[in-house]
Formats: sequence, structure tokens, C-alpha cells
Amino acid sequence: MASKRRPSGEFLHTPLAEGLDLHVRTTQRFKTISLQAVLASELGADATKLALLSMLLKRGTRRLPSHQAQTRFLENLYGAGFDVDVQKRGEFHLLVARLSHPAPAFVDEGETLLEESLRFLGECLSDPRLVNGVFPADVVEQEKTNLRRAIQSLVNHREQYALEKLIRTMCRGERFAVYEYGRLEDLDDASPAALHRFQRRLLRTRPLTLLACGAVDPDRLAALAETHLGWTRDTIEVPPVAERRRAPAAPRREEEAFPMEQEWIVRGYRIDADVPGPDDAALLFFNGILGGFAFSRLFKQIREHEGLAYDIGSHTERLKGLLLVSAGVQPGSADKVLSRIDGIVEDLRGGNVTAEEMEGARNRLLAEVRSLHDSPEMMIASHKSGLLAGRVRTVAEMEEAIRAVAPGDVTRLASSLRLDTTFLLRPARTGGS
Amino acid sequence: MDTAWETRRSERTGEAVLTKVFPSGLRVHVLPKPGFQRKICLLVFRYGSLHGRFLPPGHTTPVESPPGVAHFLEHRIFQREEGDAFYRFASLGASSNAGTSYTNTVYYFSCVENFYEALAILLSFTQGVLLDPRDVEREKDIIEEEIRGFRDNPGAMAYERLMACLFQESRVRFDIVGTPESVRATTCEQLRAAFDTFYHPGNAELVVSGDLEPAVLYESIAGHPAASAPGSPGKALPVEEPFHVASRGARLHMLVHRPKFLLGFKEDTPGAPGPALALRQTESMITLSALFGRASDFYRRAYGEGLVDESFSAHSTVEPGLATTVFSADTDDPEALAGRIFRTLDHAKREGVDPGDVERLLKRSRGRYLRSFNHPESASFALLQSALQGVHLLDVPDLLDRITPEGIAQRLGSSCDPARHARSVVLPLPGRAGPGG
Repeated sequence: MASKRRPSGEFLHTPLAEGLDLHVRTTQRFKTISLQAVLASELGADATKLALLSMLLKRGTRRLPSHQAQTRFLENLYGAGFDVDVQKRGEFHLLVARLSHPAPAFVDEGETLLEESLRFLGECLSDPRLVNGVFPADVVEQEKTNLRRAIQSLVNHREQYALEKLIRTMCRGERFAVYEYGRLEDLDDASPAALHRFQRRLLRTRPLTLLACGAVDPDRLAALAETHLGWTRDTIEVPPVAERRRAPAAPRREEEAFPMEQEWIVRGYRIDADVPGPDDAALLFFNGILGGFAFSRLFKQIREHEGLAYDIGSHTERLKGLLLVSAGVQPGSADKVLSRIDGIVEDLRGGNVTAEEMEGARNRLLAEVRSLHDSPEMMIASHKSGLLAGRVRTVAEMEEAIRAVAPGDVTRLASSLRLDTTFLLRPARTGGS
Repeated sequence: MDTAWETRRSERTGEAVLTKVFPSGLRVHVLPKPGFQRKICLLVFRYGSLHGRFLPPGHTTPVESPPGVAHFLEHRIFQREEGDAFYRFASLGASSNAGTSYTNTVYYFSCVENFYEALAILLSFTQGVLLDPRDVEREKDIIEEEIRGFRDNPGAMAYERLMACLFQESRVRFDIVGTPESVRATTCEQLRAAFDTFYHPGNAELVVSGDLEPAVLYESIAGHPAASAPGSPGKALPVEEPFHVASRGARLHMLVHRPKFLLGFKEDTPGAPGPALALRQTESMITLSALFGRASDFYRRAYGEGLVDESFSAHSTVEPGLATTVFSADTDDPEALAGRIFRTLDHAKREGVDPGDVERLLKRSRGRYLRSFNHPESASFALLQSALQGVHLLDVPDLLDRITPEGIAQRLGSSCDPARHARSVVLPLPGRAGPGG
């Protein structure tokens, strides 16, 4: 096994079996050991089932047959942090189980905690509580209700709602349009038996990666992973990378009105550059200068100088090649703010990037990258993101890429941006409090 | 040089905590994290939205300020003679932020390099505030926008209404940011009076964590005017809060899919920071976890019946001058949920809590305490919390050892009094199903 081991960025990668990989960062820096098991599939028709499954896996295993029993078990592991959730990363749809507990040096139980937690993780994924060979019908009904409500409650968070509507409009016909928690209309098909078949198929055919950071011996963890996550697998189906499309010749614009106070503007751009890839660092600069950092242009000009917005910023969906801008603005000022955003993007396209902005962004990005080593969660998140992008980097390599970015790279990135869709969520006159 | 700090070390974790009170009264707490990249620094003033009536230093007549002044001042403090502190932090590669709560105002920066330059900026916040009337007017637009966003947030609205029901006199009746009217009416003089009263270093705690040489850090703080500033802070005047609640309930219609329900209790007003406050805070937290946590029988039943989902929470606030217990949930049946909560409390007040639950939750607390030493960020927030509680961070394990099922039963007996409860509910707009998923 040790012979198959090789470095992967800041981690050591051990392939354990077809569809089972271990990535370990051994370090004594932390008081905890953090684990993350990631099962990778793609967004699509099964999104709702995957979201439901993530909820069902927290409703008990054969050994700990209820959420209450699982929670008590974790509290006894010194309040081990644990969650199972789904994550949308580009067009990947991941089932992620996280667990962290004290490192052996700091508690009486010492080394046994790691075995307990691996066993717990393995049982959650592969040995859920069943009734008559399928998920318990009452539990399935409850979680379907909860998922339905979670999907419907999206509107409680106006910005999130607006961003989801934007993506649904902009990416119609693409996998990326599917919401992380799936679709209401798919809930009816999710019977206890169908969900159980889905879970078995997922475990047999989808690649599982175990990421770990802390005071762990890779050999011992490899042996534990083989014992507790080493179920029988068939041919592994690796999810495809995200599709890329071009923005329409004429940008789209849609709007919706609700009884509310503030107006939300969200807009999506397609990035026609090599991301994920060699242009990653330039994108970090561009997004930071535009709206990703607190001192960005959007914040400075639209909030600080003109007082037109309170929340304003941008973020990227790197794996899908999108840049998204959102702003909560004074009612009636949407067109003014949109023209300001256009102006800022045009300005950056025209090469108007100051040395101060470049250095500010560089310092900030270098600080972010260097401090990845400070937190087990950040180490794992960064490595996972590298694995998904098919581009794992060491911290030193990331630093080098950030140092190399010149103003021309930012201009080039800005020029590759194509506006696709603008979505407005506006206050309606009817109703209200 | 280390002798300048009072140093204590924890055998089990190997961590050290350094403390010092400087001549100005500034209290400093340091948790060195050798080998870590990021350095975190927090400056907290014991001044929040509750402190609407106060005596500026040297005054004998109280000053009354409108709701939202603490938060307004937090926005304006970044404006310095040398330029906007926000951008100066940024140009040093440091990210900064600030927040105002009911009882304090926190300023924060985090950096990898240029720590001492950033520290000087942070400490300068104790040295003065620029109040240009034009800038103050423009800030009002930004804060008004912040309030507008807040008014679209059902959870925040439900909470604000609940506090207005529970309290008759306390400023907790108003949201921390104030109202559009109070913000519009705020004057430079009011902001100045608040600054003079509360931003003296003697009213502040400075918290630092990261890979820093203690002797150099000491010299750097000692050399700053904030360490030696003459004079003393002014004084917040206590508000006599009547025993009873202002009203039993509030309801509001908003764009939500299901009712958002809050049930709250007004608790006895706690006194100054110190071990008693810290013990009460921890006991209250353990009590609520034992009775209403994810491993409780209450949660198992209520979840199984669809009365609550993952949105359910039970939270206690115990801060100098303010204590509440608040239950919150998205639920279709607020009445049934309220009944269940009351019955659970009533039963526990008669029968006590299961000692096994308390033991398990204490083990959880010990694990969380250990976790707080994981990195400079978590360490600095743990230090901040213990500084505000008025206990030494390394005394927290002893505090946990003092918690017993009997103490928990006693704590429960004196809290969650049904005579002092109120409800707040946000209901869906009448005749509107809301947008589909």
C-alpha cells in the first residue's frame, strides 16, 4: 500500500481500491483530527434523491438507530462535529460527510477515537437503519416534508432566492440550473424502496474520497478506511466536468416582484478564459478588484461613494466559468446601479487597473493562501477544490501563481467576460405589512 | 522581557495566556500561536445599543441618546485623519470588520504580515473620531439601506418584535441599528458624547492571537497612546427593567412560506462580568441543551411529529444588563409548539434533569473548549468570550467542573418563568401562496 502512496499537493494520496481514495495531511499543529468523506456524482435527475439521502443518513444506523442515538454518541466523543450534506460544485453534486474530534494527545481515550469515528462514518454511509429492507417509511415522509419546506423557504433569503432564479434562467437546459436541494416535482417519486436502491447504487458506482487532516498516521487511517469504507464496488462512474456555453448575443433580462422593502439586482457573466486552469490566479485578482473583497470597486463606488446599496459584491463559480454580481439596492435605483456596474467592468476591460489595487489584491490573496495551513477545515476545503478542478497545487505553487499576475492578465480576464443574464427582484406595491 | 506579562500555562493543552492591564485601564489578553501564519486582533468596547443613557466623563447630568447611536459610531470610527481605516487595513493585506451588539462593539482585523502597523490603526480607534457633518449625513443613507435589508429578513423582524414585547424600558426594545427615524435624527454631538463616554481605553479589552513575540507585542502596545491615555471612561446608567413583560405577543405578515415562531422569556438582569456571570451563562446553555438539544427527548418527539425541523433552536443570552431565553422555529403550529415547550419546562422544573445528560453535555463542552485552541481565529474568539464574561480562559475547565445536576435544577427553577414570556410570529401574507421552489 505504501508503495502506491504519492504526494498530491499538500496531502499524501493513497489509492485504496477502484473508487476509494485516501488523502491525508499529517500534522501535529491542531487539537483536532478532521475527516471528510466525499461521494461524487453529477447534478441532474437524481439531485432531489441525493439531497433526501443526506438527510436520511442522519436519522439512524443499524447500531445507533435514531438521530438521538447518533447525537448522544457524538456528544460522548467530546462533542465531535458531524454533518452530512450535499454540495453543488460546478456541475458536480457531492454527498459530503464531515467529522472532527479531539486529537489523541489531548483526551483520555487517545487512539480509540479515530477508530470510533471511522466506524461511525462508515455506518452512516453504508449501514443506515432499515425497516423491511428499505428506509423506514415514516422517516422518509418526514424528511420529504422537511426538504419540500427547505426548497420553498428559499424565498426567506431574498439574495439567495434571486441568485437561484438568475442561475435557473441563465443556465436553462444545463445541469448547472438544478438547485442543490433538487426539485419539488421529484419528491413524489422518492419512495423508501427507490431511495434505498439509489443509496446502494451510489455506494457501488460513485467514487469516494476520504480527506483527513491532523495527527493521524496514513497507514493506520488507510487500514481503518479499508475496513469501514471498503464495501464492494462495481464499475466506477466518474462524473463529467461542467459543460461550457456561450452567452447569448443579446443579454437576457428578467424580473419578478414581491411585497418587500429592498430591491435585489443579480447578474451573471460567462468567463471565456482558461478556468479552472492557468487563468485561475488572474480570476482571483479580477474578482477581488471588482467585488470579491471588501475594498472592491463595487463596494467603494456604489456603497461608499453613492450610498445606493448596503450589500454588494461578486463571486465566482470557477468550475462552471461564471462570475455573479449581486446587490441589495434602494428601490427605484436598479438602472442607475446597473449602469455603474457596466461602467466599472468597462473600465477594467480598458486596462484601468491601479498599482494600488494590484498590490492590495496580491497581499490579500497571498495572506489567504499562506494561512491555509492554519486550519484543518481550510486545508481540506482547498485540497478538495483542487481535486474537483483536476488541478491540485501546493501552497508554494499557489503563491507563485499569485506573484506572477500582472495588470495585463486582469484586463485580459475582464475582456473575456460576457454578460449573459440580469435578474431583478423588485418590491411590489401589493400586500406588505 | 516576558515578565511584563502575567503568564499562565495549561498543562494539558500546552497553551499559554498572557494578560496585562495598562495604565490607561486597557486590558490586554494574548494567546500566542507559534508556527501559525494568521494573526487576529480584536478590540472590544463595553458599549452597545443598550447603553442609551449615560454620564460622559466629568458630567453630572445624564445624556440620553437615540436608538442606534452605538452602531452609527461603529460605522464612523473607520474615518480617520490618515484616511479610511478600512482601506488602510486592506492596503496592509489585513481584512477588517466590526460589529455592534446589545452590550458591546467589536473591531477586528486579521492579517499575515504588517501586524504592528495594523495594530496601531486599531488602537487609534480609542484616540478620537472624525465627525464631518457631510459624511455623517451620507452615512445615514447607507444605514437606512442596511435597515431596509433587515426589514426583509423575517427572522430578524420576528426577533425585534419579540424583544419589544418582553421589555418595557430596556433599549433591547429597539433593533441594534435603530429606526430610520432615529438614524435620521442622530447628530454629530450625540455621536461625540457617546465616543467620549465609551471609547476610552479603560472601557476596552484588546485580544490578540498569532505567532507574535510577547516582548515585542508588549513594547508595541506600551508605546501607543492608548496604553497611557489619561482620564477615565464615562458611565452607562442602568435601566430599571420592570418584572413583567410589555405585552404577550406580536404578529406580523411577511413574504414567508411557513410561520416563523419565537417564544421568549425575560430573565433576571445579570450583574457585572465575573465568575458568577460565567457560571450562569454556562449553566443556562447546558440546561437548554439537556432539555431541548438535538439529543433530547423533546426534540426527538417534536421532530418525529413534524412540529419542528432543523430550524428549531433554544438559546440563552446572559450578558451584563441583559438576559433572555429564546426558542425559535419555523412551524405550522406555533400554539402546539409553545404548549410542548411549556410542558417540557414544567416537567423538568418538577423532576430535574437527567444527570447522564449533564455529564454528556459537559464532555461536549470540554471538547469544544479544546477545539477553541485550534488556530488563532478560534483562540481569539474564545479569549474574547472569556474576557467579556470576566473569567480567565484557562479557568474555563474549572468552571465546567463546578456544574452539577443540582446546580442545573436550581438554575432552571429561577428561569423561564411563564409569567414573563412573550411570543412573536411572522405569518405568510394573507391569500398568497408565495413563489414555488
